[in-house]
Order: sequence, then structure tokens, then C-alpha cells
Amino acid sequence: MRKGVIVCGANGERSVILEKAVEQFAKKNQSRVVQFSACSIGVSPLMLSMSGVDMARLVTVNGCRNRCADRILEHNALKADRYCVLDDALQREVGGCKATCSFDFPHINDEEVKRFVAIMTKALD
Amino acid sequence: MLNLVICGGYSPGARVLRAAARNVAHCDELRVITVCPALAGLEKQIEEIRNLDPTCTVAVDACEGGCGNQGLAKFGVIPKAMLVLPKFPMVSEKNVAEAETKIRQFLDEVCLK
Repeated sequence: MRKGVIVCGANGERSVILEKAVEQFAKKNQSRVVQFSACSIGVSPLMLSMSGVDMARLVTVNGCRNRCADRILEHNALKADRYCVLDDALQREVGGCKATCSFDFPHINDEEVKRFVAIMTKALD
Repeated sequence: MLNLVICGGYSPGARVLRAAARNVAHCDELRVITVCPALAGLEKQIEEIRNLDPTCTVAVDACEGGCGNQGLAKFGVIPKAMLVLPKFPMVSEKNVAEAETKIRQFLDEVCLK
């Protein structure tokens, strides 16, 4: 049975790092996961249970310590078995997840993306 | 300032949308918003979404699921207009450019109304 991976709908710099990490993660793990956006679960929670994923072993991927993906699951009486937070892969200050009109992020680097992919992959095992 | 509410996904199509929205935001006066924090129940973000001026707010989604638009509706905000991009199966410069063009055309139409 595939595992459900629920990724928060981050914004700003955190979203750009998540995008890169999710792309790499999906390439490596596409045979064993079904990936969902936390927003889609927030508006259509049935989608998760109808997908056939192992509901006892959900993994959430969060762009910040607010852990919106976990909160959205909790709003729908669900709980993640494991969770990842982007901050655990960062070694620098990154702005918060918020509405923005500025997308100039020169400090994003491959190493932090790789570290987060490793954290996500470990959460699957 | 126009509010551009996008879906919060990371499918290839959603990543195309995110990249295109960033490019459009570089040039135009618009603010990119996702409804995820509000859907998660964060009070400040719920207020922010509820206080959006519908006449200055549009939703752009990467698929018919429309979580950007539906997320807004959950907080009683009906955007001025909405757009669902065609399905992009992969992230590429060509697809991002096509999405960017569609978003710009859409914004031009919205502003003319």
C-alpha cells in the first residue's frame, strides 16, 4: 500500500525550496507514495481516504514550524504518523510563509534542498 | 494591488503555476497568496483572507480541483474572476512561459472589466 504524503501550500522563499525538494523527492519515490496538497485535503478531505493510501502511516511535509499540513489533517480528525519541517534542513534564517509580491531569493542552495529531501525520504522509511 | 490567489499544490502543473505567478509578480503589481495557512486555522491568516477585497482578488488554479478558489469560498470570498490553467504534465521553461502568458491575458481581461 502506498503512503500518503501531504505537503503544505507554503508561500514565498519556503515555497521555492519546497518545490525543488518535492520534485526531487517525487522522482525518487513515485512508486511508493501518493502526494497530496494540504490545500486540496483542506477543501476535499475525502480525497485522501478514497485514494487508497495507508491512512495509518501518513507523512506530512511542512514549510515552517506552524505545521499547516498537520493542522489541516487534525481539522479533519486525521493524524500524521510522521512529519517533516523545512526548518530542520535550513542553516540560515528564511522569511516566514506569507502573502508576497517579492520573489527574489538569491540564497536558496542545492545543499539545503538535498538535506530536506533526505529528511523527507527518512520519514517514509 | 491585485491579489492573486493560487492553489497550494506541488504537482507538475501546480509548480508551473507557481513559477509563472512568480514571474508575473516580478513585473506587475500583484500579491501572490495561498490559502493553506487559513485552511490550517491560523487566526491571523484567516483574517487576512476574510479581509481580501473581492474586487481586487482573482484565483488561478492548476487543475479543476480548484483548491485556490474553493479555499477562498470557504472564507466567504468570491473572487472577481478565476482561471484554471490547462494541465501541464511537466515543469519546463516552455510550459512556464505558456502559463505566464495565460495569466497575463487573464489579468488584462479582468482589469478591462
